[in-house]
Amino acid sequence: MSQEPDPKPEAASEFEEQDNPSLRGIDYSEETNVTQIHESILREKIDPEEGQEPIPLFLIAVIGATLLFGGVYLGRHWGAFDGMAYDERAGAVVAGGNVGGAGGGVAGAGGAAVEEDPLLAMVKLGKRVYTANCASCHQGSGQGAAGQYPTLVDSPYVLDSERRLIAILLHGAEGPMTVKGNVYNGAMPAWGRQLNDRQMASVATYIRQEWGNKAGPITPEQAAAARLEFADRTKVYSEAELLAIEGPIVVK
Amino acid sequence: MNKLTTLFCGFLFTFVLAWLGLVIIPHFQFGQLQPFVNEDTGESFPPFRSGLANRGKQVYEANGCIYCHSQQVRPDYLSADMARGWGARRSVARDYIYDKPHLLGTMRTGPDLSNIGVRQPSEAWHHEHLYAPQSKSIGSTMPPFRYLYKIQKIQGEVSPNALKLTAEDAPAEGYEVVPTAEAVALVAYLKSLSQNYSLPEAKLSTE
Amino acid sequence: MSQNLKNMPVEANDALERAQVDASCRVPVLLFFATAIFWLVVGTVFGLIASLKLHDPYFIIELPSWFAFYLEKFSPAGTVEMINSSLTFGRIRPAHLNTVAYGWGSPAGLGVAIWLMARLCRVPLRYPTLVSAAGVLWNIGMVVGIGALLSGGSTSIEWLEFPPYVTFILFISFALISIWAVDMFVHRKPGHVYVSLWYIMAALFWFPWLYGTANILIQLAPAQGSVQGIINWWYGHNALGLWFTPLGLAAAYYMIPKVIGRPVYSYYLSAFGFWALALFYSWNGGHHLIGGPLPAWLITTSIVASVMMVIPVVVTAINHHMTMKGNFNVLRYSPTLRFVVFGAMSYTLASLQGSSMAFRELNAITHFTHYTIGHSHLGLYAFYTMIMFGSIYYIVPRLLGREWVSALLIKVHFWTCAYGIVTMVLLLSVGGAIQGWMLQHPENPLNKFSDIVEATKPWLRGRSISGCLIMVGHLAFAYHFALMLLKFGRSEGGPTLLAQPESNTDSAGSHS
Repeated sequence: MSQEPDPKPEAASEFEEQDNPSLRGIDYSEETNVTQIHESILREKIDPEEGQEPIPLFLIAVIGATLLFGGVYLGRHWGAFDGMAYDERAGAVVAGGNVGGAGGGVAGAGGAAVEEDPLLAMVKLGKRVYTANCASCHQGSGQGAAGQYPTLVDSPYVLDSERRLIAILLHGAEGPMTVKGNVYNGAMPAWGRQLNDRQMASVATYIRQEWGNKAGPITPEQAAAARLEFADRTKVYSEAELLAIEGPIVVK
Repeated sequence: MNKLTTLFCGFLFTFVLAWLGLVIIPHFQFGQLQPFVNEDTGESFPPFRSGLANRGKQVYEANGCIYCHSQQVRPDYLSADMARGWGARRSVARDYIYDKPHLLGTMRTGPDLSNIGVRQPSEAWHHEHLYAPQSKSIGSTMPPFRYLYKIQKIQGEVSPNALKLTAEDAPAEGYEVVPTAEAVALVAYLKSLSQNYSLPEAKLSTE
Repeated sequence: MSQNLKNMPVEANDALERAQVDASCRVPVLLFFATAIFWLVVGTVFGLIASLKLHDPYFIIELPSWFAFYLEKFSPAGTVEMINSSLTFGRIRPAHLNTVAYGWGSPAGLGVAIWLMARLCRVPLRYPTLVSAAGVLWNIGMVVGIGALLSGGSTSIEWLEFPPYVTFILFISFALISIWAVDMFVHRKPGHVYVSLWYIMAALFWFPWLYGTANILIQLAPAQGSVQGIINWWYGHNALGLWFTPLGLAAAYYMIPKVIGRPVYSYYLSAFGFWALALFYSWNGGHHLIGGPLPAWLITTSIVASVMMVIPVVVTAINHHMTMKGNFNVLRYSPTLRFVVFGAMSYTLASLQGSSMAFRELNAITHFTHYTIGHSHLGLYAFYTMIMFGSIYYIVPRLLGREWVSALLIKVHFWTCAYGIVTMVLLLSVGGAIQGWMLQHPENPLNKFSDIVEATKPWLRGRSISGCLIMVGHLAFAYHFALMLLKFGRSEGGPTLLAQPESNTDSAGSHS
């Protein structure tokens, strides 16, 4: 420590074992007092060591409680060791796969299905169809969006002609439309290919009795009849064309 | 714990356990799923995406759509995803067997898109929304993807695929906005996003 | 039997040994620190831009039209589109994440780890050229990677957005350091292996495996759909838990006892905490996919492991606290200790918050929201980054033989970043909780999606402001570091402290 080492050992290969292979890095050019170079090192304390305190008792209790909780949770929500078992709820049906939706659960897991009023079942199905397909534009409240998606609440398009309602669902509508004094200019896609007769009838039934609307249900047979009647149509409807469609659907 | 071998064995053991549990076992347990084939109609689910839609998936990936949009519907006993109209059933592993890479997403700055093809099948809507999101969703913070569109001079007649834009989004007089090939592919992909089919392990609530 | 080591002077041989170690570390470690600080500034800029775009979607969406007009004339076709497309949120946001994780976080941790390895093995750094080469390679990977991200080459896999040819470069760099670390360990001076060394060795062993496996199974030989999902988050969470956390804890376990001159409270707590972390942390990944398309057993297992993390976290917190007990006054003047203790406390907070977020009931509200983002910043910034700041403040004077130039710059750095991150986490947590609550209650007609977007905007604007604060802190830090590299520091006169220590403590200069 009292002499300055050679700045560069001769012919030193980078990877050769040397006594001090890394003294090359020290920049001695600016300082002459070696102790000052190391001031920050000199004032350091010794490197940290580890004390021998034992693990506190309360901590062992905390650890035990956590482990216990973990075990209980694991047991209750394990489901089954099955790649198809998605439902973690305690007591969920596992055999034959779980059903994901609450609606499907009514028909799914074993036991006699409770006999439900068919109209109520249609309305419930209609609500699910509405939520999955229509609510993003017409909203869960049925009120739509100003200027774009017409409100369905107290709307003549919903309440009046059954034929017109199913026609809209089958082939869509576009262009300015006035509903209850407000103008909407949106584009409604055709749902005829995506919804079958039962689904179409159910969603029509649903919107005709929801949000204060009071109009009669529409049956799947009626939806099928209307589908047949308008089968040749390939374009979306405009307001004028829609207003020309009137009357109920008569099933022959 | 002063020997490298002791430490090494410890690192290896703890790591391998979780690696087995979270990587290897899942791969064997639900990582080799076959599509579900409807015996009557012969349709297989999930449906294959068209080449154009696959190209669109690449556009989706290149532009980071996953950072605002998820593609997974959670079950109705845990979340309001289905009540929001984002799906008629929860998503399951089989819905993603053709996705390389997966696009499950972790943020919902924007809505979930698993079934966007179901609830918004209109191509025109998607193009207008991509070009000027605020024109379709007031207050939206989605960035306008103008670079996926071209503004060109109208040659004679307006192009059939020109976007119908209003007010501040419309181009100058005599110009029209048309989608590039990337935008067309992206919209084809968005239209293909649908989990609207039942599987034995997850039935649609709308059936 | 903890001794009061406060007044024990350092032995002359120890000092010489340390001087040699530090001198040997100088170029490689400073290279990693310079890398880290450069990318920190770049990453903070990306982060600020991304934050502004979240509430102001028209912020910098394209080149100004007059500029684009001229650029179009003098550049290949498509240049303007390429630049415009690189400005979109969907590319800036992953640029931010990858820059701060792989540009700042990893090199900072590696620089600190390399120095710690050399100090704790008590041998001068072997093969410094190898380590420096790894550092250079790292930077090449970063530049190419960020360029790829911005030009649309992202893989769209969170935390693994870099294309395969970049991850290959980074993997080689990691592997070089890991091999170097084993070589150092094997050549260490005999004696007790300190806790920091376990954490560093573990991290350097685990991370290449994580990185390699995830890249292979998601990109090169992809697993099926949702299996990719669980592999993705096995990787993503373990990058935090088995890479950043061990590096942060290794630094904390060294810096805290070192600066105050006391031993760590309990070896048993250290060992137990370490192995509990190793055992439980790696199973957490599935908690990113609660409610997702994965079987119940997998999700439940991850939730349980996430809750089990309470054990190592509480153990470590007690260990650190009991070590610090009676010495909190040192926080008044030691920059290192201030940053590191802030970080260590944040570790406890972030981890306990994380365990709570794993419960399905709470997760149903926080999943997919800004709450999660607040949590990730609490972990990666308030815990990891602050500890790295503190460690860099300690190490750099020893490498350069100069003290930090300005206590004011350190104070600016600390307070802007401390206030910045606390504000950011609070704002994102509240905003995210509101967002999540509204998402879960669509039956309320006031919770339409557009309403949710409006409701989060004020919180996001606040976050941008806190981001500006943090930007100021980082610029102060980068400027200060540059000054040090340009030889502006004092070489004598004691350390740069934030206040005057009490006169009755030991050598006043030993707390930095």
